[in-house]
Amino acid sequence: MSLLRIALIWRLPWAVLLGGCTIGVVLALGDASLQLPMGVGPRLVRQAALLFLPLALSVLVMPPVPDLHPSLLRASTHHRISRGLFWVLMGAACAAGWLGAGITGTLLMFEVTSTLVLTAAALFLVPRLGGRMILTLTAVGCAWLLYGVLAAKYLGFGDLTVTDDHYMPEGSTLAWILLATSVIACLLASVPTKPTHRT
Amino acid sequence: MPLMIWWRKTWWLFPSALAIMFLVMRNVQPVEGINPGWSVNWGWMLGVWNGGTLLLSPFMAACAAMVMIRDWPHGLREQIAVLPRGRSSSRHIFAVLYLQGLAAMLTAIGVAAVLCAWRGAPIESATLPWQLFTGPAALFAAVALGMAVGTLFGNLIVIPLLGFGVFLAHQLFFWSGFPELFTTEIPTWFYEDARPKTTHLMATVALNLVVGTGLWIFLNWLTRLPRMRPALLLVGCALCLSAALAIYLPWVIAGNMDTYERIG
Repeated sequence: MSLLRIALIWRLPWAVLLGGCTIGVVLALGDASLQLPMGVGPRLVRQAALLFLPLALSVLVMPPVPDLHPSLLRASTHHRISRGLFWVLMGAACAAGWLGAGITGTLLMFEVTSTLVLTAAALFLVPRLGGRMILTLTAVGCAWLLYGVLAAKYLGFGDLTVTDDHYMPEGSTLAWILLATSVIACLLASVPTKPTHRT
Repeated sequence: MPLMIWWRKTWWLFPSALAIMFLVMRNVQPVEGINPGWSVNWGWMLGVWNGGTLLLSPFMAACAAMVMIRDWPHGLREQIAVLPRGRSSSRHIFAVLYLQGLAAMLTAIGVAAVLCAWRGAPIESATLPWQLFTGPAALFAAVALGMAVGTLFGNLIVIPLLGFGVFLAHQLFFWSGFPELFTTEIPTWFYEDARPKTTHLMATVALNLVVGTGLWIFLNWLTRLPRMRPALLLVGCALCLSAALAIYLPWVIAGNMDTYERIG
């Protein structure tokens, strides 16, 4: 079987295409406001793109032939390549969104935590629970875009609706704990485990 | 009985849709200490109820795509298509998905109507019966879109694409004041002396119905065996989408962006 055929079955071209488009959107429109109803605060195109990308890429980490996959010779190669490409594209999109964008500290912390929590959930849950988990996380991602800024206040990120530099909120201990937890969750979710896949 | 087969596969949809409806309807600011605020105004309540499609439509579209990809995939469809009633599953899937979404909406409006009646909210503020139809029509279009896209591409990547795509579709329709597609306006406050404009609501209902019908006809064409797909169905689909443009464009050309009219 040719490498191109394997790449197509493993959905790699799709992932690269979506990753490239998302990076383009983040670079071109990242700071544009989404103008979402039901609340105020910084709800930006960048946040939507970085919540969408891990869910789109989570399809990569689902084995193409779930029932047979663990018995196949290429199972570990698939694991390495899919996770590797996942993190390369996620890293590129996050760098495009956050580096040099002049985002204030707490907002950056909020966005990093949101993105990493959804990324960890996608990496950990989608290979185990299948397509239904992509659907659930998509609904959670959309709801987070609507209510995330409101929830940030209760999660220790302060009032993100404040735009005045003098009154900018500072992240509490809880916010730092959430950020650290999301980083650790991402690392743990990337570790290979004995697969019990379903679609 | 066929409906039961699909209901057993998607029973979790109704509780999820109900949770989404209440999540959206709960998050409206209180009025003079009355919470939820929309319970003081029927028009506002119905607007918020229809606005539940802001999250419900993306969820339903993504869910419809997932069901078509996982449970009614291309290979299975081709094998079953030659049997008597072999293509009826698409209708059954649509019915089960749409009715569960609709049941969630009806449950939500039941609770909301009781609250409005209890508060003695003025019924003149509602534009009846049109305000009862915009949300269900948007849901119809969203489910048809999800089924058509899921059937066309058959790749799980379309689940997040549809979810976020339909959710962000309101960026085009929400603030413009033109008729809305897939998701409807969610008012965050109310007018004492105004109510939603009848013609705007009628146009929104019509737009969603013709787009939904067009997508349904396209789905019907897609689910037939290759080389047995009548071109007439594609013509019907094109006619429906042209009708959608014919409904939408006059509003844009006229710059008609008012979505409220004075009462009386």
